[in-house]
Amino acid sequence: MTDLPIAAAEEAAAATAGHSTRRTAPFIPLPVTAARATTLAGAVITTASTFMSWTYTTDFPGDLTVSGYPGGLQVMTLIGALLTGVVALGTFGLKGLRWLNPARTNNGVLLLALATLGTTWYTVIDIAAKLGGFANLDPGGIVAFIGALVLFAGALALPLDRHPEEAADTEYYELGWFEQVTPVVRGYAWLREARLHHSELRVPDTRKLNPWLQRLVIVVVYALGLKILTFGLATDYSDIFIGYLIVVAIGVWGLSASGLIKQFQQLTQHNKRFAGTIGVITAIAYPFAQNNELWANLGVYVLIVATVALGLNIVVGLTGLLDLGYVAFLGVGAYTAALVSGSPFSIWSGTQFPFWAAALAGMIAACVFGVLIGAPTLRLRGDYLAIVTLGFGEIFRIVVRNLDGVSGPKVTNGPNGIAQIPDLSIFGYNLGDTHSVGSFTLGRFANYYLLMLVITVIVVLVFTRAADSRIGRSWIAIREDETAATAMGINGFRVKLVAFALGASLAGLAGTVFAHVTNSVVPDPYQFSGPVPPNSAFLLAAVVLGGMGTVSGPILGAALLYVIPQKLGFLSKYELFAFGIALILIMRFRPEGIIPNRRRQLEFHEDDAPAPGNRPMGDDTVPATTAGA
Amino acid sequence: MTTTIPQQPTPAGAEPGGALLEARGVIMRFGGLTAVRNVDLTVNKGEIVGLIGPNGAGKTTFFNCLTGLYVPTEGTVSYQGTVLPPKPHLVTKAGVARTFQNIRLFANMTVLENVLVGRHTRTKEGLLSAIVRGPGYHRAEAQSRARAMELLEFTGLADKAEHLARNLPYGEQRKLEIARALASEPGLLLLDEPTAGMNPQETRATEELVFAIRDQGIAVLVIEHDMRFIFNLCDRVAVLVQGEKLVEGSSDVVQNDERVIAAYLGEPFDATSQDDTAARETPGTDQAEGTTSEQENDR
Repeated sequence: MTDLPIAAAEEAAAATAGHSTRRTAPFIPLPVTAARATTLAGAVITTASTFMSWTYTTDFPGDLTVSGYPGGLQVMTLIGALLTGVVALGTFGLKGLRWLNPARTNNGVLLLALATLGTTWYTVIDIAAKLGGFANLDPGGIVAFIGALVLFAGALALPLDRHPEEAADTEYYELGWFEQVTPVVRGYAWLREARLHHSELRVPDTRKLNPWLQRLVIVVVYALGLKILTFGLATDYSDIFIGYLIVVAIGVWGLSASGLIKQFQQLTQHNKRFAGTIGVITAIAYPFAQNNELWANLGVYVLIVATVALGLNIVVGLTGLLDLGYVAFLGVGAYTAALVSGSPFSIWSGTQFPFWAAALAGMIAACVFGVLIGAPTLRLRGDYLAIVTLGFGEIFRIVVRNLDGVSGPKVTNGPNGIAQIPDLSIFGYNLGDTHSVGSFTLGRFANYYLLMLVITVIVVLVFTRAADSRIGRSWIAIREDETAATAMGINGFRVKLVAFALGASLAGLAGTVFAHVTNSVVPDPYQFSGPVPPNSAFLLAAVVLGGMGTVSGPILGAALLYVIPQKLGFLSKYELFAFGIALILIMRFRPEGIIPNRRRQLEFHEDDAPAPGNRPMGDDTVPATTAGA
Repeated sequence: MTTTIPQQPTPAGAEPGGALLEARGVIMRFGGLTAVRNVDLTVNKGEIVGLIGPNGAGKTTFFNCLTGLYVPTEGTVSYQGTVLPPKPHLVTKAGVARTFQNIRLFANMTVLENVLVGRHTRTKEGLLSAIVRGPGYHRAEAQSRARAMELLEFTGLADKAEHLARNLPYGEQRKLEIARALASEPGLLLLDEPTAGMNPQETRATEELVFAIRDQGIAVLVIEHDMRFIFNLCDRVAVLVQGEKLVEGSSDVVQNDERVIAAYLGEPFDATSQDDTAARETPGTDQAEGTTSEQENDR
């Protein structure tokens, strides 16, 4: 497949279209050559337009008035157009350029063109809306507008892998009442027809590459990732951030459709240790790559919620226990650390544990609470467990609120919480002070970021090692089919309790740092759902959005859910609303999360997987997964 | 496990070799329905015992009582002289492993992982050793893997070790269930309809497999509807009808027993001897089938 010219590949695909699920057809009927020319022309025009002036005044964020140098949102358009052009070149079968599109499909080109179109048109329309009319556009803006359209049209004319539509499937029960309305049905049918097909991408094996080249690629990609991340965080205006989001989100989708991301995953898979080390180094480099306490602050909180989400992932993702009160364990850790921190508001204001002791105390306290809550509740299954854990989570918050010396014994100062928690000092290195390392300065949040990074690495190690072991297998077995698991000799209750306690301890560990970063602990953040993370709903959403049962999923999910609301300040009123919409969309279109677990993906897309048996089964043959649910 | 029925003489036909599993007076009631009535059954070392009966006779319910999935209303089940606790994982630990009538693999785990889960009771590594990963952990894990691969060789699934269990063809899923059960190093293997839905070749292969398991010194108790399979395989066959054990003995004895034929096919129309088997005809058994299989699926 790899060395076939693309035309031959298309023929092969067309020849097997009769029984295979693959079909290539463009949306706009044009000869392939013309389509390619149009795409390339569009890419060139759009690229050129970013070097022109798009508007007259500098009122628009990012100053788009400069000619000869792209700025602000023009950079987004430039990146989109260049990527589209380059990936498109990869499909043309030119020698030496094939690696640019390893999966040899045009779907990636179309998606990248869509990203370019999206960000360009968003910019142009935003200029018109912000400054009052299209009259504010310079010729450059109009060229960009048209160039992006040409690019997208060209991509639509390329032969695309589309979803097969069964001829018989003309009844759309899922539309419900709307099935009566012809235009709706037509539109829906067209949408289904228009779906791009994501089949198993076949990419060339990267192991043939020179090992040093492999490592170089990994380093470059991680460095680029860091650059992209800091660029996004550095955007000063929400306009630019939206453009950035459009390019990054659809662009990553496009790159994964063209197989580049799968190819990179292969590389990291073959160089696991190296990739892991470079990943950690990249993360360490983050506070050095910028000098802004605000971003370091963002980094600390992202790491904290990511770590807690990872702990929750053991309970929800691996063991399949829906825990809706998980944030309470973070609270236990935070309160424990606050009590032994030497804060004047703590009842033991004289005692100040060193960090390792405080962290241990937080973990043990959370673990004890985990066992205490788990022991009675883990006898329940499914929804019952979810409801009971929800209750226990709220009990924690209310108890803490009442331990104020009036309604109960004085331990936590009630709603006032424990304030003035001193900064941590590890081996004489005070994390509250600004330190200079070479020519870099590390502020308070940068220090905490580095500490939190150490904890995240520990939690990732614990997670991966536990998941791939006897106990991890028994967790997954319990999730798959509890009855069969117990019949195989697994003590279900005990194994579930271990998962619960481990998840709780990891949250408690993160909680100890959380208390010091925020300088104070109050009961309110530790609720089921609320506008500010961390709360149980937020953590659960991070796990589900990112991908259950994976390591990178919850980290990515937590980062997205934390950073996006921070950057889009104008959304703050509608944050929970947007949150809900995002979750519904994810559940509808990608229930396995952004980064799917291999197992989960199969579970949710059973129809696409090869038939499980070669024989029709009787009515009593319930699939094992549902029988245990 | 409420009442202990006094010891009864071992049923006729039991070969010497020492009783491995002894069920005494097992009664299982679901509300008003008595699914298993006072059943005694002995399985000796190195023996293959068949359990047959029309649909709804209570075979699977009896299996569930043996393996701790159900707690029998009355009666005891003992393995190697000790009474089995009514907890499935403890029964497995004691040395009784089982398969399920409706295949219950861990569908989204690989074939190898499925068998490794079966090794759970025979390994000890806890959470801490998994996180620390000392030399002991690596040794135990390697041993488990080696043993699991051996079992996959034995059942002929070795080349599919990395496939997801759900992607195996039906017959191989059944084999994998057996391999998984064998991984817990049982002294007695309970097979619940191991050839259901198989074609004749696959059935024959399963037969060979069961013999090979017996040759390893593992006793087998098997439920099956395929009479040829049962009579080829079993040293002894017990017939369960309407929750009661009708007859037990060698293949010939069971095959020629009129009551068994009556239970499966009904009495001849001009029956002269109106014994009580004729009174309970198939409609009743159908009803019982519906109830028991539903309950099993609910678990």
